[in-house]
Amino acid sequence: MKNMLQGAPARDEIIQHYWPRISRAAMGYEHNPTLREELAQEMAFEVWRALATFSNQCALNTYIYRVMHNVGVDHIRRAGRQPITCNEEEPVSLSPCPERVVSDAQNQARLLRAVHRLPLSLRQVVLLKLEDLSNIEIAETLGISESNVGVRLNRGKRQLMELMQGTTP
Amino acid sequence: MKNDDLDELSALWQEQAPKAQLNLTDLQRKYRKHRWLMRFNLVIEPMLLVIVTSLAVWGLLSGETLHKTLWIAVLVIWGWVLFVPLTVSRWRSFRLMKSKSLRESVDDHIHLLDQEILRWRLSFYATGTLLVVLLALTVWTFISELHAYPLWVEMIVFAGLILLMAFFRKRRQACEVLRESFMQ
Repeated sequence: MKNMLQGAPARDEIIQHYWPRISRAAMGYEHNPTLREELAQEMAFEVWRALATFSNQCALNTYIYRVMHNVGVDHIRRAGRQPITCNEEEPVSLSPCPERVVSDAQNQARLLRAVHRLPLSLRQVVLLKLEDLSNIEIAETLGISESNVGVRLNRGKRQLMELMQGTTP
Repeated sequence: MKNDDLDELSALWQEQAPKAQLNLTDLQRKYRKHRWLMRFNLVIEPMLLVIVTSLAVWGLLSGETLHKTLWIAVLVIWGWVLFVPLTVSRWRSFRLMKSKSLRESVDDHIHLLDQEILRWRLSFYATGTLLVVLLALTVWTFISELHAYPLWVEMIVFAGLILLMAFFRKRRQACEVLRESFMQ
């Protein structure tokens, strides 16, 4: 695996495969759409670089999520801003079924706003769970016990629901 | 939409497609440029400080007016006080391992924020001290009629230093808020 990932084409392929997930992870750390795109590109590049030194110290999936989220945390620190405010509305794009698209887009916007309002420790657990990672994978990514993941997940889920109910679409 | 199930939210979350295309070639070019700029800064910043320090020493040895020598000497000390902690912080930040577990890296970031808070505080007080010393020098030269620089130049410097102090204070407060959010 180590040798295979040191080649640029193999790494390019992995990055392309993970690109939608990288892009969504960036959404969890930056609410400004322009900065979010930049962050996603930075995450992709850091993952691409980190893959060259991957040596099976953990599962590849865990390794990639660690790098992605570490870049996100680094972004928050470097930007030096409070990670809570979220008042920018993204335009809703219309396609063949406008009503459903608008409703989905509104729900997605509401979900995103709620995610941004979560404290960092809960936000990370929730973001990883939203990507369908198992509790074991989340524990490996975060470096905490599985039971701790369960506790954070319950707390994060509860806060997310409260925030979503309290957010206007 | 039912909000009590993460599976439903998960599906909604994963429906979001990337808005931009990934361009690795551009990113690699940007990274090379960034590295080049970093190396350039690494050389230029200490070089500028060494030049200004040498000027101060040369001023002391060649019998410049006390006023001018003090101006430069205080500026040099101020420069070093700001530069050394900044370089240490930068160095530690570059060495952060991106593949660490998130708990470990959040601890590292909290540590970096502590250093940053200390750095902003140090910068604030160093600038305040510089302001007081320069103010005293200006009053002294004004009274003894030894004007080294026109008064308006000194006024601009004072205004700049006050703005700088306000900036340092604001940055420190932002870091403290951020640290709190990392601790939650």
